[in-house]
Amino acid sequence: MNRQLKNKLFTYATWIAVVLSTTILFFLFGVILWNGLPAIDLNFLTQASSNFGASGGIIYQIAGSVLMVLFSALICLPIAIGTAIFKSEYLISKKLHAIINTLIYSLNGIPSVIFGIFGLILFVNILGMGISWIVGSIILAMMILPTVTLSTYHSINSIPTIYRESSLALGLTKWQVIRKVLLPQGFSGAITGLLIGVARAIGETAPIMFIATAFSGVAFPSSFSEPVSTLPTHILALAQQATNPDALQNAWGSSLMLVTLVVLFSISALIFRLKHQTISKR
Amino acid sequence: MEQQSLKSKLSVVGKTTVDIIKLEGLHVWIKENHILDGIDVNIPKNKITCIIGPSGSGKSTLIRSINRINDDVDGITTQGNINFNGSSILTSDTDIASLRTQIGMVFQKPCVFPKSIKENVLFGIQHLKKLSKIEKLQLVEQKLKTVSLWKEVSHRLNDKAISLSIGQQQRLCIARTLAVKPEVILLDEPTSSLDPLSTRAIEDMMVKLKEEYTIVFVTHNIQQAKRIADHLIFLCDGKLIEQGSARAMFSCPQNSQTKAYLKDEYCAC
Amino acid sequence: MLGLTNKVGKFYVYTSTLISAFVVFLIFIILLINSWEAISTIGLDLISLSWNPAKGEFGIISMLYGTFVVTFIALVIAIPLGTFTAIFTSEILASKYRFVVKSTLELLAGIPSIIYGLIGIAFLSIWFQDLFDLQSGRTLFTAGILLSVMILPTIITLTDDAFHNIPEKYRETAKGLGLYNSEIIKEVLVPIAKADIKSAILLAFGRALGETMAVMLVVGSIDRLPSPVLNWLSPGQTITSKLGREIAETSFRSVHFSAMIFMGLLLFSIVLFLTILAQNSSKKTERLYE
Ligand SMILES: Nc1ncnc2c1ncn2[C@@H]1O[C@H](COP(=O)(O)OP(=O)(O)O)[C@@H](O)[C@H]1O
Ligand SMILES: [Mg+2]
Repeated sequence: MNRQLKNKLFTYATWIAVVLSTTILFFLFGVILWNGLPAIDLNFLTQASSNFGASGGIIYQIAGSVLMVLFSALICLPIAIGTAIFKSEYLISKKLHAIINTLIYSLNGIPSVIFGIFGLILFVNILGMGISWIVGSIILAMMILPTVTLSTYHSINSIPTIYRESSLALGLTKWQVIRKVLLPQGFSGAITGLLIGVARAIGETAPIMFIATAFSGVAFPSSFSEPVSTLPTHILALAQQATNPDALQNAWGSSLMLVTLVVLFSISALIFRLKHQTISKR
Repeated sequence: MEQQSLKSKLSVVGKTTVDIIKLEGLHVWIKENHILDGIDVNIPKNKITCIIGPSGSGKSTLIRSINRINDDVDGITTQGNINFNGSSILTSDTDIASLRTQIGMVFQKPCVFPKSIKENVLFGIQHLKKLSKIEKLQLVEQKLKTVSLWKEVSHRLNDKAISLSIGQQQRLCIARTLAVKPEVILLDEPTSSLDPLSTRAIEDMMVKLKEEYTIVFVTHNIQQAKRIADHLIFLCDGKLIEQGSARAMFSCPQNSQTKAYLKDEYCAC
Repeated sequence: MLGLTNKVGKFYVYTSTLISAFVVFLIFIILLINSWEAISTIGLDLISLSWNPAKGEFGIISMLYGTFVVTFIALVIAIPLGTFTAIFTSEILASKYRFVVKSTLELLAGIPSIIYGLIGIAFLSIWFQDLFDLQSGRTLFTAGILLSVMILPTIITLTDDAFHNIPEKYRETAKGLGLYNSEIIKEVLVPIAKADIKSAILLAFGRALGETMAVMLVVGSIDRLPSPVLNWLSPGQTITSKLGREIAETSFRSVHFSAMIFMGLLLFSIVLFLTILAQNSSKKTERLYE
């Protein structure tokens, strides 16, 4: 009886935890939707911001965010694929493998603000690139490198050895095997990883706020060396004027837009992965 | 011939066998699939009941219904009645955990916990009562002797149980179940992943154990059933084809399907 | 010709790997070089209470204190809440709802931290201001609570995975021995999943230490210890909020800048240590199963 009672109490405890967690989590979604929806209309999405963001829209912020993550993906992709191929096809030593893994996981764990100050020192100051969006892209590329590398690695590594051996037996060189046999499959892993990485990168504020963005008066950049405005830094600027209801309203609108973009990228990653899985099963 | 078998059936009844478990019209569905279709069987006390049948016929589902381990399977519906010692165990207020201490179970693949050999033997019982150190050691020795594992492991009781061979692990699992002192022990093809020697050891053990326990033993091996069964239940495609004393069923099965299965291991149902 | 492409390919692959592997070193070296000025000129005075660049005082204790208080509050709330929720999603919830629950959690884990910050400013800090009758709702406590919400999805999904990866046979065997669900979880599943749960907690710990935007917006940003020191309902500062607020306004290569980078180096080292610990912890479980 005592044991039964303990079991009941334990079950109640898990129920309480679940109700609490669920309430919190739904509150978050609810708040973003509830406050964000009234702020969004066609004008908001298609106009430039004015009055320090308190009025006008967010078209340049959307453009800036998308531009920056797009380039970060382009920078990251070749390096990630190369590293994944090395890990899967060239690396034999178990010890070296463990070391590289540790480095990749470490890179993944580095706090985002550290990336920001690193970029500030190296790119903005030492290399003199100034506050420009391309620096932001480079830094974001570093941040998503582990995700893309690991995702690519897993899809290359899951190809059965028999494919490699039978292609080599046909007289293909190692590089030909990699290009013709492994890369087509590895590429889909890379795209999945990129979509996941971009979903994360587009929401990052701390790594780009000192090195790539300006808070107001920015339009679409005409060169690599100009700052842009992005959704997350725009939200930051508006959040700091939270006493102004117009600014706050636009902050919520921008937040909803940002979450929508994040979700869009995440769902594309999911769909891409599922679709790819069914193909390889066939 | 018909009369003869009837007589042998009667003679079993004559020795005043008590049925410890009775299944009445047991139906089981998993999602849309009708897995068990109206099973009526009895499990006689202190006997070895063997459940045989081709694979997929529902043997595991049947045995797993008896201690309600099936309850947690996704999408399962159970209908009918199971009586244990005269009372139904399918009611909603049945204390399932305590039921399972009375009806123990050993699975097809041995499953030892990532703990020492000694801790594995004591794993179930220590929740039921407080044991002193000496009682624990005595219990471990006694149960390991029963499953003839004591000689092999007495000098390394604190080693990880995973270090044992598969055959030894399965005997350890049986010892662990015995330590809880159940009335009934359900075994679901316990020897199917073991070598012939360990298999024989477990068969001999079963014959000894029936003095104290009621044994329900699922096997797809007809020869094995022949060696150990007192009572035989033959399932095919979720239906009970025949049940009765093992001697009678092996010597002259009533049902043509049973006959075919026992002879050729082939079932046309 | 074929041999050449083979060589070019190899060169490409090796170069990419070198780049990936050396980013971490590069960051470390850059941080170290740039904090050297502070280490050599300020030295042990970095471990003091007063931060006042105008007077040349660069004590980082209040930032360290804030960082650990905020993280501590976050973990104390999120670990039990997250673990129990994970036990529910993995052991009690029917598996047909699992996909929905997991996707929702992943979605939540993906909400950018700046939005948590906005929620913190617009709701949490105002609630706490009224609830505790404070001058300002932006306090260490507010930041801790907000942070606990942020790391909750991470803890839940990772811990849920840890439980879910345990083969069903352990549960069935324990049930067959007459154990109650709570006993099975406590004595069979938790010991098996322990290493993975530990690594989930370490990862969440690292994330909490390094979280910037949300904390920066609600922590109050005042560079001194609360008085009394355990009065967490007063404003404070963390390493990340300090860096986020001040680094852009500090001139490059000044002592002030260097002292800030030193804090970054400290944070970097602690989080790196936790990450490596977490990775080693989860590796051990593989051996446990068979
Ligand atoms: N969890 C499950 N979900 C769906 N079908 C199941 C499940 N378990 C068993 N079955 C089906 O029930 C039937 C009987 O299975 P089982 O009792 O394991 O047979 P046996 O033990 O005789 O081989 C099989 O057709 C099997 O496919
Ligand atoms: Mg079976």
